[in-house]
Amino acid sequence: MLQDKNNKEQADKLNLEAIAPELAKMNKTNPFMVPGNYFEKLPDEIMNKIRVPKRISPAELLYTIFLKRKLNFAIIVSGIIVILAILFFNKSENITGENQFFSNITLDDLLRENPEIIEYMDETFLVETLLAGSVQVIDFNDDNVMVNDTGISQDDLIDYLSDEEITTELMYEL
Amino acid sequence: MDGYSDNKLLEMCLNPESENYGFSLLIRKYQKPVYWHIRRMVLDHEDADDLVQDTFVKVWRNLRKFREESTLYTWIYKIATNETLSFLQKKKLKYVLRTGNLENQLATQIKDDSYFDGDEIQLKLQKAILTLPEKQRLVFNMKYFEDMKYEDMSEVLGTSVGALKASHHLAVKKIENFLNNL
Repeated sequence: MLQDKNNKEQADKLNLEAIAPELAKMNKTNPFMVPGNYFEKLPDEIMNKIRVPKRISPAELLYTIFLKRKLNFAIIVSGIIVILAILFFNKSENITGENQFFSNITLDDLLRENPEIIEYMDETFLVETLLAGSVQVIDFNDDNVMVNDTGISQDDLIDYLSDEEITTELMYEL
Repeated sequence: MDGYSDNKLLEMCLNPESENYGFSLLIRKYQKPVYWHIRRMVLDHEDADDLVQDTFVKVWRNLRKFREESTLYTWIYKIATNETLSFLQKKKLKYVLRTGNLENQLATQIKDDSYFDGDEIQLKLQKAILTLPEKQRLVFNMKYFEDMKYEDMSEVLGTSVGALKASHHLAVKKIENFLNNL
C-alpha cells in the first residue's frame, strides 16, 4: 500500500515535470500565516457559537406565536381607529386665522414653488401631507364641503386610496 | 484525539451525552485542513476565519442529516467548499460594481497582507493561481497543495474524475504559461 502510494506520487511528479517544469521546481511550502494560538482557540470559539439552545416546549411556542399575532392585530386595529378619528375630526374643523392663509395655497402653487417635492411625492407622502394638515390645500365650497381648487373632495381622495389599495399597513408601515 | 476514527467521532456527536465533547474533537481533527482549504481560496485570514467557523456551525446543525453516502471528511469539505464559493460569488458581485475585478484586487492585497510570508516566487504562484476560474482554482489547490485523490475531489465538487483530471491539466498549463511570461 505504501509502495503504491510512493509509486503514484512519483508518477504525478514526473507528469508535472513533463508538462510544467517551472511549477515542478517550486517549493510547496505554505506562504500564509495565522495569528498566534489561532488553532488552539478556534475550537472554543466554534463551540461557543453552537451551545445547545434552551429547548422550548410546544406550549411555550404556541403561546409566543399567539401573543405576537394578538399584538399585531391590536396595532392594526389601533391604526385604523386613529385614521378614522383623524378623518372625522378633520371634516368638522373650521378654518381660522393661520389655517385661512394656508387654505389659499393650492397643490399647483406648492409644486411650482418647490419643484423638488415631486421627487418625493408618492401616495404615502401625498396622503400624509393632506391629512396631517401641515399644508392646507383644501378649502370649503359654499356647501361647506372640503374641496381643493382642482375640485377633488375628501371623499374623492378616500375613494382613490381605496381603489389603489393603499392600506393602513402601507401608509403607516405596520 | 487524532486517533479517533470518523465513525467513532460521529457516534459521539450523535449521542446527547457526548455530543459537545465529540464535536469538539471533530473540530480539532479537521480544523487545519478545512481552514487551509478555505484560506487558499479567499487568501485573507479574517475571511477564512469567518468561513471556517460558519462551516463547522453548519456541520453541527446538519450532523443528524448526514447519510454516510460519502465519508465524513469529504462531507465536511463539501460544506466548506460551498461556503467558500458562495462567499466569493458575493464578494465578486461587490467588486464588479466597484472596481471591476476581484482577482486583481486580491492579487494586489496579497503582497501587503501581514499574514503572507512568501517570497517573490510564491507571490508569483499565488497570482498565477488567481488567474484561474474559481472551480479550477479549487481543483488545482486540492491536487497540488492538499494532494487529494481525484475520487475524493469528485465527491466534494460533484464533478466526474475525468473532468477533474482535465481541469487540473488545463490549470497546470495555464499556471505554467503565466510563470513563463512573467
